[in-house]
Formats: sequence, structure tokens, C-alpha cells
Amino acid sequence: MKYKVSNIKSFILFKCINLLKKYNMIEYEDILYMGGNDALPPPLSKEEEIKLVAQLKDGDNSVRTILIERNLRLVVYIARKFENTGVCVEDLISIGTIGLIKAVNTFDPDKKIKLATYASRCIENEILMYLRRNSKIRSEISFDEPLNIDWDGNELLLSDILGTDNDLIFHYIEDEVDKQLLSIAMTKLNSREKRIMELRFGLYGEGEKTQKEVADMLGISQSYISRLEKRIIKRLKKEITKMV
Amino acid sequence: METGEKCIICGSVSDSLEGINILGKFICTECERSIVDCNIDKVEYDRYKESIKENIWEDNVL
Repeated sequence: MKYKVSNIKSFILFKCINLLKKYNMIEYEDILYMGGNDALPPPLSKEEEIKLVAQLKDGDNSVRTILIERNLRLVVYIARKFENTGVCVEDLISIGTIGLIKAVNTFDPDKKIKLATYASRCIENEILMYLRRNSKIRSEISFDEPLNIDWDGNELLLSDILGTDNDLIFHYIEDEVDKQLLSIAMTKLNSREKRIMELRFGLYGEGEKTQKEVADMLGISQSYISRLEKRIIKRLKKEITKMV
Repeated sequence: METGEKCIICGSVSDSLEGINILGKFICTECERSIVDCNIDKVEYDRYKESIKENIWEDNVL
């Protein structure tokens, strides 16, 4: 109900303003945004805006300055609509100002759209993108987030209560180290020994093969492959032990 | 002695007045261009936002 009363009030107010303008009883510059700040420069009149927008293409800094300053009330007006988002209004207005600077710099007068309309979209879009980014950051939580403090004054961190399979992370790290050590030890082997190990244990992404398959591929007996394999493994162990 | 306007973003002083002036606070052309090109996900974005907040809004109006 309150909302409806407010709408009716706004409607009556705009009707009154239009009537006063029609009979030249007030100037365009006298109209301010509702809830706007008096310290800000007034918005441009339609004629002023047309004139300045036409000069915008020349790249004159003073034109951009006027267009930005005279639309700052628009920034405040739009930013205040997002006050209930939990972001402080100073931040919202500053982000809106960035949106306005972008709007004035990218505005194309040939598109036959009013600068205020284009700027409103840019300002609102900038604020919305910021809010979206912030909500994404808010949903992320650090492992070091303190949850509570125990009797001894030690912080209980999120990482302290997160459960994983035993040594899951350590196993992964150890596996990586083992792979690196094996890779270094493999460099000590000759090319045939290396090939046997690659084929038998499916190293470097190849599938594992049986001793018989490897023997057939290399044209030697399976028993010889078995003996070679034992010898190579023994040697690799020795090399790895030396490194560790 | 430098007599030009000091950019509120990069702090450089310009005699040429190449840039924009918002409520008496100067932003040089280079920084203006960087702001226009700056995506919200970039690290510099928050620096621009804070400079504008501290210099233009907190000092002047809010």
C-alpha cells in the first residue's frame, strides 16, 4: 500500500513539473533528482546535451568533463537503488562513476539514443557486475578460516575439521615424487632396458604388456625378459636409493 | 617546480591538461583510457574505485 501511495505521489509530482515547464514557470536546470545531492552540478538541458554530444567526437576533454559532471546525479540516483545489497553507498557511487566514464567515452551519437539512457545502462551494468563478482568472492572460503577458539586459545581452522581419506594428499605428493625419481633413474638405463620397462609397466601413457608380448615385440625369449626385468628393477631401486 | 594538475589515479602531474576533471579532481588521459578498458575482474579495478571514492566522493560530496 505504501508503495502505491509513493507511486501516486511521484506521478502527481511529475505532472506538476511538466505543467510548470509547459508554462515556463521553471527552468530545466531547476529540476533535480529526487533525493539528489545539491552539491552536484545540475543535469544538462536537452539543447545543451545535443550541442555537447555533437562535439564529443572531436575528443575535447572539456566536453567529456561536462558530460560526466552533469550526469553525476544520475550515478547517485542509480547507486542508491542498490543500497540494500550490503555494499556501502560510497563504493556503489564510485563504481557508478567508472560506469559513467566508460559511457561517455564509448557513447556513439550516431546511434540516436540519449546519453542519459546509455549512461544509465552502463552505470547499472557496472554496479551489477561488481555485485556479481563480490557474491562470487563471498561464496569462496579459505581453509585457514578460523571457526572457533579452544580453551587454550588456539584457533580452530576450517582445515582442522575437513575430513579426507587417510593421507590422501600425502599419497598424491609422494606418488609425484616417486614418478620424478623413477624418471631420473630411467635415464641411467640403455635404450633397450628403457623400452622393456616402458612396455612392461605402461610408462608414459602406454598400456602394460605381458612378458610374453614384450618378448615377441623385441624378438627375444620370455625367460630372458624375466631375467632382464629383475635386473633392471634392482638397478632402478639402487639409483633411487642413491638419490633419496 | 611542477605546477600542473595531479592525477588522482597515477599521481603524475600534467601541465597539458590532457584529461578530465571531475568535481575539481583531475584524471589524466592515460588513466582515463585505462579505466575505460579496465574489466571488473582486473586487479587494478579496485585501485581505480578506491581513488575515485577517496578523492572525488569522500572529499567533495558524501
